[in-house]
Amino acid sequence: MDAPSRYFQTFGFEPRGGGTTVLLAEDDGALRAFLGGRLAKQGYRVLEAHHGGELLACAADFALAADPWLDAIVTDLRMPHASGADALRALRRLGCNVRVIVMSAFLDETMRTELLAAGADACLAKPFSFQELMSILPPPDKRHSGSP
Amino acid sequence: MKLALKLCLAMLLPIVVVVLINGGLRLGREARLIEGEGARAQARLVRALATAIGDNWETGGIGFARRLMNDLGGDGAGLLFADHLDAVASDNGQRSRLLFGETVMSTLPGESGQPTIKTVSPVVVDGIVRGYVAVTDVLDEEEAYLAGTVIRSIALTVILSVIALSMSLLAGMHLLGRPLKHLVDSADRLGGGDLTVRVTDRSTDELASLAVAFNRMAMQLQKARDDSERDSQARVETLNQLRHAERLTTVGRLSAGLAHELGTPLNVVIGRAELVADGEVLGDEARENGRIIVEQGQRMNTIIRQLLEFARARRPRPRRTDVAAVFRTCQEMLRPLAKERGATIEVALNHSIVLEADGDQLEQMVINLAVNGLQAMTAGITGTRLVLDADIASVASDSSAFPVSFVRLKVSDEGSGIPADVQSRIFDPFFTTKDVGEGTGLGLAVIHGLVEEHRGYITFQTSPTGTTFTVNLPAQAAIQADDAKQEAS
Repeated sequence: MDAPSRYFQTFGFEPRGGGTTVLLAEDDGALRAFLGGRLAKQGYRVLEAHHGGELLACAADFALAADPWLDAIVTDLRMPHASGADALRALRRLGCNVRVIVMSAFLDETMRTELLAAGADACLAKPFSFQELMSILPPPDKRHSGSP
Repeated sequence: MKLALKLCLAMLLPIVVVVLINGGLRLGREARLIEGEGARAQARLVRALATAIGDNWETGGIGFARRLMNDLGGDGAGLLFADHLDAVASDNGQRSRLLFGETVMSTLPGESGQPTIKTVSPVVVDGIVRGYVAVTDVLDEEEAYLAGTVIRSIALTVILSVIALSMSLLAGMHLLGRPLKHLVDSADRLGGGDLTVRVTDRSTDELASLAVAFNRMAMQLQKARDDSERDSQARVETLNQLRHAERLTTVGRLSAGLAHELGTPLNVVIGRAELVADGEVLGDEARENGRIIVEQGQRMNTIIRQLLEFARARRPRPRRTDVAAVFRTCQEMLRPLAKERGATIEVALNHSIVLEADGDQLEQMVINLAVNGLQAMTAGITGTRLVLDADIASVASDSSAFPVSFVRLKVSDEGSGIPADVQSRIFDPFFTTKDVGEGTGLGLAVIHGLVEEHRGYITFQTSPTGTTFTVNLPAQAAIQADDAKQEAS
């Protein structure tokens, strides 16, 4: 059983399509559905976390896994139970250098600097265009291109 | 006026007493003088008669004596000649003195009450008493004179009194009454709050000193009031500045929350609208995107409306409001939501509690609290109750700044309680534990603001079996506000 499927079973997430795997953590259902749908359409495998708790569990699971099955994490900053920043710090403490993109509706320069210092690869101020997100994500078929 | 009268009477009384005593003494002296004069004249007459009769005793004898008396007027003039002692003397002392040849004078009260003096002298011829001459005078003229003197004295006293009384009344009114009335009027105006009032008195007497003292007092009062007004003005300004600063902080917190609340749906709207605009989605898919865009737009609209409500929380317009009526309205409005949640809303309050408060805002508080309560009671568990109750509580307080009587509005749910870690943040704007779309995190912040505007406070007790929010509204402050309004009108 590969890591993603174990993860799916534990949390009951459904992957959206194949290709590069992105963990999308967003507590707002409408935005999650939109982003998830668009990413899947672009050819990504998309995992969804509904709040900070699920994100933390998934991130820890991934950081401790031998096989790096995750290519990027796109997370909201403010979420119930734990924030995107909490997950980011946990990942970096565990020595995991997966690409992390933090989205937030309230991002000032201080916060952006703090997040980047904590190890975020990019910060997106809501509302952002989908193209913006695409431009900082690894291409969709990086790993799984050509594979069944 | 009354004081002037009292002073006049006090001055008049000794005058009258002195005049009366003087009159009495003079009267007594005059009476004695008149009496003495009469007695001396009578004695001279008696002696002359007795000598005349004695000298003519040899030739005329008793007949001459009687004729002489008759010629001089006889009994009618009070003249009497008697040849024996009993007719002229009534007591033994007088008799023996007469027998020894002495002249005797006596004062009698006469038959009709007038004082009478009587002098008796023996007629002695060659050492032998031959008879007695008695002269009796009724002192009626003297009496009349004395009576006239008394009447004159009394009349004089009365006239003097009237003159003195009117003079002193006039003087009293002018010198005491008028300045005193002026002082009293001024004191009344001062007491009525007109601190600019001053007394003008150009004289130099004690009343003028009083006026000066009064003016000094009024000036100090005015200064004290001006100082206190300046102080409270300064306090109000400081408070306003603090409020402004606080409002700015709140605005900062609000903008953060607002950005977060609006940023997410905006992201969805823009993203989906781009899809439609770029022609990437067609047909049913485009319609679905449109539906989601509308939904998100409405969501943002709700947030903005609630935010405006929070930001522009209008000043309460207090009027007499029955808490029971507010509860009944809320019960009606919340019935559909309660039904959906499988809960019931009960109003435990069964009598009127009337207070001065903004009824609409009370309704808003109760509805917000009740909606929270209903949402806290997990859907699916039927038979849960949300109870609305109210009572009046007196809270002992050392500080007079706080009212002691509160109307307590209680909204109790049977939900699972508020977790300890979020209890301190539940009144923060945009803080919510609800799922996205179910709450904006403004409900309790709005209630908090409304309760503060009513100069009240909000508390809650929570346990895993339910939560009770209590809105404490001052009963007395409302009444005071009402009083102030009546004074202003």
